[in-house]
Amino acid sequence: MDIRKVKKLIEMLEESRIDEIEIHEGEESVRLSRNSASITQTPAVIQAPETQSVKGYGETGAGMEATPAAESTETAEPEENIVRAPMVGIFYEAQAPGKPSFVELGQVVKEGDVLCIIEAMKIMNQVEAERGGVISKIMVETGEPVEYGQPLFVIREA
Amino acid sequence: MDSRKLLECLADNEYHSGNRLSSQAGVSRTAVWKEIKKLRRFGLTINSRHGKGYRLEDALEFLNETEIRNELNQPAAGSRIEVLFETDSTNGYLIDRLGSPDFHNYIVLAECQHDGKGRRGKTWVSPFAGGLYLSIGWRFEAPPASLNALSLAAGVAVIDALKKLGMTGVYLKWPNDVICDHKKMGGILLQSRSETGVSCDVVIGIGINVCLPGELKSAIEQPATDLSSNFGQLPSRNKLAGKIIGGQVSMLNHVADEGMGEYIAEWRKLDYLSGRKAELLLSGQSLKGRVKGVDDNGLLLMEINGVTRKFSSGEISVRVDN
Repeated sequence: MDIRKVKKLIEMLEESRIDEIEIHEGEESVRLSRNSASITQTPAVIQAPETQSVKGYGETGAGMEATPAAESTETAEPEENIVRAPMVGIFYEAQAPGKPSFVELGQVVKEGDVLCIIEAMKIMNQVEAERGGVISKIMVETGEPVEYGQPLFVIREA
Repeated sequence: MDSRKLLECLADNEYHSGNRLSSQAGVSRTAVWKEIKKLRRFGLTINSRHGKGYRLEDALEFLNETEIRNELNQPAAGSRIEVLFETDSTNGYLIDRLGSPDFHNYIVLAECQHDGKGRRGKTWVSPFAGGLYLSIGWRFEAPPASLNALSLAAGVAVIDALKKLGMTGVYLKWPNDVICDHKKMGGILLQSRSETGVSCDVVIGIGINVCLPGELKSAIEQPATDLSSNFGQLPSRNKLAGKIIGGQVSMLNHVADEGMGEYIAEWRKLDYLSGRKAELLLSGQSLKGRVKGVDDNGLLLMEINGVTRKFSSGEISVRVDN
């Protein structure tokens, strides 16, 4: 992989709130991760790939029938507080670029409020709150691909 | 004064004096002049000549519910049809009715959209009567498997309707751009709201360029074309609307009962990209490869560095190599 591309990826990682990013290009793959505990200028670490995953950035796995994403990174949040992706696609926090986000951290929402859009095959799917509460966590960045069942938000009782 | 009244006076493409227009509409000449300015902003070409008045360059055919209904097939006979003079976007009009009892089988058309919607906030250029802008609201009580393939099925149904009117040589660029002469002639945008495990409301928005003014065509950021540039004898917009609505309603009934299989098979015959080198833009990343069609769920298949991968999102464009 072109070292400039790796450098670009590092920059992207630093600018984002993502902890880890993994890219596959044919035979080659690169995974960058950082220690999210330290906030300032942590140099990104390039690691050798550990998995044989063939999934790429934004690519779907087995299609629509994928199994719910693993939950190893989740803390003991009660399941009823977690809003999960109902489909594979790209996550958007707003109706369109430049428009305000549907919800902000700390915002109180009620049942039926639109939380985000997930796009797949030019279908803009509105994801709504199934119950009211306070947005306590937003777990995905706008423009990021999400898997079926991936946690998107935590909504705790107000 | 309403724009529709003035346009009805002008629809015949004869000259009408400002005085006559103002007495017909019962408003001042200044009000007429302001309305003319507004209509020009809608994308209409209105000539004005000293001593003669105003003239619409091209005669205008208004959308009309009765005429559209005359063209509908049996499955669409029960659809509710509403024709708007102007609106922000026909999709937005139905999105506001998501979940309401009258949402299902609700069809909205507009002569002009002020904020026509494309993907992710892109604008769909919608000059007055220069195209066909319509949206269909549909509620799936039990959504079929791989509902996302509806995006492709909607495209197939549009092409079928055009074929019925004698317009052939039209293809689909994944997932559903309507392509003629290598340029975009129409687009489809779907919006949906699903409640886990129960019904799913979908809005299918369709925009077809019928006759775009030249200056607008060149202002669109990608190569664009329209029906009038490709086909000699154009059907009336009401007939076109009726056939397109009929095709969509038949398709929606079919996939609700039988699933997407047949439409995916049809889509493959209309695939503009298959076998071509293309570039996929996805979350700011560019992937280059060769398109290998779609899988049975309608996902894009692309061979990149010898490996065939599936994609559900991204903007794809044909790559021209020198």
